[in-house]
Amino acid sequence: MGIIELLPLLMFVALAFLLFSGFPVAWVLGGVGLGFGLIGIVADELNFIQFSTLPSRIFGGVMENLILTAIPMFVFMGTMLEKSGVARDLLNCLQILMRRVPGGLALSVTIMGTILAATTGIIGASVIMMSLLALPIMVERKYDHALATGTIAASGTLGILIPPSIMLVIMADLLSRSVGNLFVAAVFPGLILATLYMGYIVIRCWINPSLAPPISEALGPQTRGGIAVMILRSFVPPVILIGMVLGSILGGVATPTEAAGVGALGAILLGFFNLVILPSMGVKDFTLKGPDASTQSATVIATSLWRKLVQFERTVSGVVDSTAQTNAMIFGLFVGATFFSYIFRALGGDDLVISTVEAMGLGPWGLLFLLLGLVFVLGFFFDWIEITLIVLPVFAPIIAQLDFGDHVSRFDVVYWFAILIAINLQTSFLTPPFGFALFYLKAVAPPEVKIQQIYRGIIPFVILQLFGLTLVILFPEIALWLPRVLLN
Amino acid sequence: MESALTVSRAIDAFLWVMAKMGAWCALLLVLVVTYDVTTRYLGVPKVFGLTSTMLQESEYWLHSFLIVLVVGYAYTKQSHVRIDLIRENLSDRTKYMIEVAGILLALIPYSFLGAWLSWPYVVRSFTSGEISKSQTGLTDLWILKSGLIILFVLIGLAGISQLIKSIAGLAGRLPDDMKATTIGGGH
Repeated sequence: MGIIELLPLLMFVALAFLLFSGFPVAWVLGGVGLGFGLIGIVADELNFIQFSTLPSRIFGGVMENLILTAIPMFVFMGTMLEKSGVARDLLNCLQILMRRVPGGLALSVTIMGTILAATTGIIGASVIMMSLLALPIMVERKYDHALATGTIAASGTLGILIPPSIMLVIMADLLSRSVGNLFVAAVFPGLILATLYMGYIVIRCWINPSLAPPISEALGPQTRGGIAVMILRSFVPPVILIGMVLGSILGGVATPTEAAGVGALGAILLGFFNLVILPSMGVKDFTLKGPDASTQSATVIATSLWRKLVQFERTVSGVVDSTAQTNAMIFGLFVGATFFSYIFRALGGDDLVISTVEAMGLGPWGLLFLLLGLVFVLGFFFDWIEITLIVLPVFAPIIAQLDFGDHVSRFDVVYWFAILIAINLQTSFLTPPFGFALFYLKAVAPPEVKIQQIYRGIIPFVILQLFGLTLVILFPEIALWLPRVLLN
Repeated sequence: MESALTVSRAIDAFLWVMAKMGAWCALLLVLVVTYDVTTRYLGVPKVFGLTSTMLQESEYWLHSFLIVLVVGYAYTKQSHVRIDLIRENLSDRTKYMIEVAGILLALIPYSFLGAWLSWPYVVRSFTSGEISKSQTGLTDLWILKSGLIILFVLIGLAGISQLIKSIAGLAGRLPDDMKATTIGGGH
């Protein structure tokens, strides 16, 4: 095999090498694509005319694509819930409701991670938000640091699997499958993982209550009426919102794009309720101790309506800005990856991959484990965005060909595979020493939390993840049953 | 160097204005989707004889402008992902050098090629009076397609601004307030 046939492989080598320079991934993708395009032209493998279809690729793949439009709106919804304090109130409320359950604080973090899975969809951002909201109070209550950080890292990354996950939107688009179907397929695997976490937390804290001292009974509302009001204002609204968004997608009533739009508007209304209407009615924000648990205080109530409106406008404006930048980050990469994959294909990359894989003679199971292993290792270094955008298109033709006989029907293989990749990636983000959810957590954790404690705390969750992954591998119906019942 | 940094500041300000316009497309997008959905499910006719197809196409128009107007700006705000594993341990000087090399070898050629390839693509759409594939959709597709040129031009401008700042950083002449937007704060 000559050097020319190996060009696509060298492309990946060059990409991997240059990415570690720390230059933005989007530009490295474009630069490597361009460089190898030129090499291809010099080597007479490519014709410059082939470049001219690039704009239509980008246009068709990124711009003229109604499915991907859901992404900024899901990001908008999550960011709005976070910045308007709705997410914080929900967590506080859960913590008070579960103060008598063993490991109540940790359980509320897992439930919150499950409900607000869409919070951002970007691992770093969700883990940081969960850490800032939940870790200070857990540390203050003398929670075992290992248990506290393990719970936060695992629950904060669960969002890439639980719908509405923007990773699943992108995967469905790249694999040419329905986003709605993939969302539905992810429901049970996601819930199983959340249940495993909660089971572990309860059992561990029940055996050894000193790991998880409960929050003080003096915190929060004391009367039945007070608790009912708290549930009505902090728990019911976001849960109804998320329930409606997911319900309309799962029930096949709305497309993910429609649900995302309505969900984002709902989040704006909840924010308005939280920042303007409630304080105007004189409802005080209930706060739990901890530096980030209380941002809104009696002073907010005292300000004029005009001030509250200005505050609301600033919040929306901040959400708009941050949504735009997250979206730009995702789609800047999308464009770069389109460029890169186009040159990769033009240089014969697809054929190289397929012939290499065939030469290995692995069979479908061997291939599945090879891909899962590869993605697992890549997850040590890259976020899901790079992995799905760069690696998935390369392997998409192979995945569609996989034949597992009676284990999984041919049509369903792609959905099953996508779910496996999602669980696998999440596990990878959690696995020490590289798992970078752990680094984000360490970066915002109080100084007394040591990285060794974080490593120790995450191991049980990694084992639970691998158990969940094995379950879905052995019983594909966990992922495939619900879409069949609900959507076909 | 001072005048070069003034150019860089001017570019950043221009990118900021573009990004502001792009960013509000996100809110507009949310409103359009909700309007389309509610009128469709309630069976209420839409104003100005708009059709659902038109609204849905305007949704990806808005998303496209949300992308193309912000991607360049996001670079000046350090919002694009980098692989930090090795970078964290590098000196500021090395980071500036990587930035200069990356911009000259990757970003500028990439944005130039992108804009240059997009030009005939947009012109073809304009001269042929291309309209949406669906009969009831939007016309003047060239406006949407010209977003590609905007995208690559703004990426190129952001690259030039960051190049100036990085060279100033290498020369030790970069003001502290511009350092975080050039190689990021130490996080």
